[in-house]
Amino acid sequence: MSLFGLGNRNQKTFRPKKSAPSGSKGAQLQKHIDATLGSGNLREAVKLPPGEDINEWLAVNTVDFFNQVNILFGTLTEFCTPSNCPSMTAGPKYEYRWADGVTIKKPIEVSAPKYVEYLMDWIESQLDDETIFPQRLGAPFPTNFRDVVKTIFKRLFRVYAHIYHSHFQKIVSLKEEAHLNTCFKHFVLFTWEFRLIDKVELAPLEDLVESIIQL
Amino acid sequence: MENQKVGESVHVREEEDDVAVEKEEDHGDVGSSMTLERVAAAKKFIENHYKSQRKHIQERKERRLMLEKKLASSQAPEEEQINLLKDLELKETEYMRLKRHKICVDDFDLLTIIGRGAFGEVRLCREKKSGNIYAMKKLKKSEMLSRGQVEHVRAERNVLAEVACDCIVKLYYSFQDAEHLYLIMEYLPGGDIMTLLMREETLTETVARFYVAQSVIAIESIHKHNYIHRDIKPDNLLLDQYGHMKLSDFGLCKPLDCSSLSSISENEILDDENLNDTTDVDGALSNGRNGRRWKSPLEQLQHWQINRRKLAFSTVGTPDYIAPEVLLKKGYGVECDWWSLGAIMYEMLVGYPPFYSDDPVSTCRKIVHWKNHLKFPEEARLTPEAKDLICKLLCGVPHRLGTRGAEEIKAHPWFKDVMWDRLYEMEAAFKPQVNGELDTQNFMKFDEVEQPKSSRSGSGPFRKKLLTSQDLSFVGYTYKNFAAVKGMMRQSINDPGSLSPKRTSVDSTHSDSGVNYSA
Repeated sequence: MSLFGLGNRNQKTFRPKKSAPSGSKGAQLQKHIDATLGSGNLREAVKLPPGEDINEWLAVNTVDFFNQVNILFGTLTEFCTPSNCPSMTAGPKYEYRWADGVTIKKPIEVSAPKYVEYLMDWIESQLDDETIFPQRLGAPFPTNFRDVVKTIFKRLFRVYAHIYHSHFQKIVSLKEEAHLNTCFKHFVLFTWEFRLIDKVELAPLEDLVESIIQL
Repeated sequence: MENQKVGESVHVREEEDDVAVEKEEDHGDVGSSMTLERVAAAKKFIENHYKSQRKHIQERKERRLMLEKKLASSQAPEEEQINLLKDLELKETEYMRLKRHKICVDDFDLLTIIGRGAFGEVRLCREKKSGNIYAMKKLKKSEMLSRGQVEHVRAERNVLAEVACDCIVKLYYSFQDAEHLYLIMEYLPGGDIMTLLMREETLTETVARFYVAQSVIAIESIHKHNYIHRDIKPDNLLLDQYGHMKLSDFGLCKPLDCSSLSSISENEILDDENLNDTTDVDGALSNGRNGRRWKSPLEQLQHWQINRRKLAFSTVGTPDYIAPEVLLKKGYGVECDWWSLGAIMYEMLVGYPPFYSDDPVSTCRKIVHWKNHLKFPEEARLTPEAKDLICKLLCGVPHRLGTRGAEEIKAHPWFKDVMWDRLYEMEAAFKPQVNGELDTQNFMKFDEVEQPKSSRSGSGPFRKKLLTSQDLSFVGYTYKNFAAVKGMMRQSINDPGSLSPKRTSVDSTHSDSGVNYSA
């Protein structure tokens, strides 16, 4: 088991399903991704400011992205229920299982809301841990801080993937697609700028991610 | 896996002997009212986040640019220039760390209570990590919600965060826990104008002119940011250690409970029935039925002084300074603040407000019918210019000075010799007695009602546990000022500017606002 409860990196929590119908979900989402807020130049916003400590920049943005995913998913709790979403999926091809390497060592299949609850609790415990995300002035970041951040981002991406695949119509009917898209674009651009998520992990929203990066 | 229509859920609630069944409000396909509330809060949170992020990026660039320009034109050796740039970068990094800090009451030592109102209290506090002394305003969320003050509290936080100005009380942090909202502001040890007026009874025109002029500048600065104060009164005009005045309490203190005023109308005929509760500053009618009678100016003054404190801390508040158009809910603009200033000026020179009565409803009636009630007692001996200015502030909106901007007030003959751009540099009319940074002698004494409870649940980074219905109303409340990272050193009262964090040569290039909209 690795330091900070990241668990064994080889564990199979991300399971592409072998036989899944190929759909045009990507194309459907593509139509809506253009709806965003006037949020300024996000490409500019993700860049490391001159003279800034990279870890400090990763830390403050990790907190912001956690807040955004947290509050966005909070609007779907009425619809993302154990009966509606019995497992944590990102479309028909991808399913996620939960393990934190500490309390749950072997990946388990749980409903989507349970998965997100575990995930948010785990991230929150990382953010509140002074040895990982130091808050006192002058306290140093741990040597493996970047790895911790990468795991957090990988897992936050899964929440976006589930929202886009399973609840996007609801997001549209609640008229919050511009808000979701803006947060996701920002998230993807930041992830890309600092190489925080491996390409294979981005597969469930591959088309969407491509279009954001190439814009 | 997309959701089909979510059916109506049924709550079963036991009420004494019977079982009541209620259906959750249905919004068709969209979702419950709780969901819609969450969506609205989420949208607001995200919009505010990006708005503040843009602002923060811009301000950070400007801070660096300003320093680089300064250094380019200075004779400082290259090594020192590099160090100054590094110093700025370090402060920016510290500020980013501060933004992540989950700030809470435990970060402060709680000291003397210096104010109490309908929604909470204000007390002196010391920040543990820096030793800086601040004033902490603590507001009960449930009270704010039940009295419909959510927008007011948001407005206060926004004004304080946006308006960086010498004449506005500086906000350093705002945060929340499950029960309360907190504003951490600069502590002004000189007390307030209300206390000053109670001590002095009346002010000379020279002294009054100084405070009225500083009020004009303060009110003008918030108007420039498109805010209306609506509750300007002597209690909200605070004095720093040098006697200079700053404006506080933006939309929060105790807006008048107008539920009892619905019967008041501009066109009502003031017959004997309506006059029963009215006391005027001149005349000698008596009201046999109630045993009340008209009071002489001296009696009026004594009565006002006896009741002043009670009114200030009542849950209803005092309507004495509120403009008629605000009371009548007719729609109003920035000019309502100039009416309040006129009422304060009158009180400074006469000793009590222009429409004072035994009870708030009567005061409101008099304000609405100001044409019949604005009188100057002969004993007051005001100069014609002073009377003229008061009359031009306490009048109908179309004719009121300030309606077309503060310049027309500044141009009034009563302000003839005022050097407007030097007001905050000149010596103040009164220098308050302040013995040390913890001195509260210029404030009322308040008893501790409950021992302050310590709670580690603060708010910095938004936390998922906060998404109750109550907390949705206060999403985006947290604020951290860049100035808060500037002076982590203790300061003494003798040091100019010692009651707010110290500015070094580099600090002077820093903007005073940087909003972090985590809840």
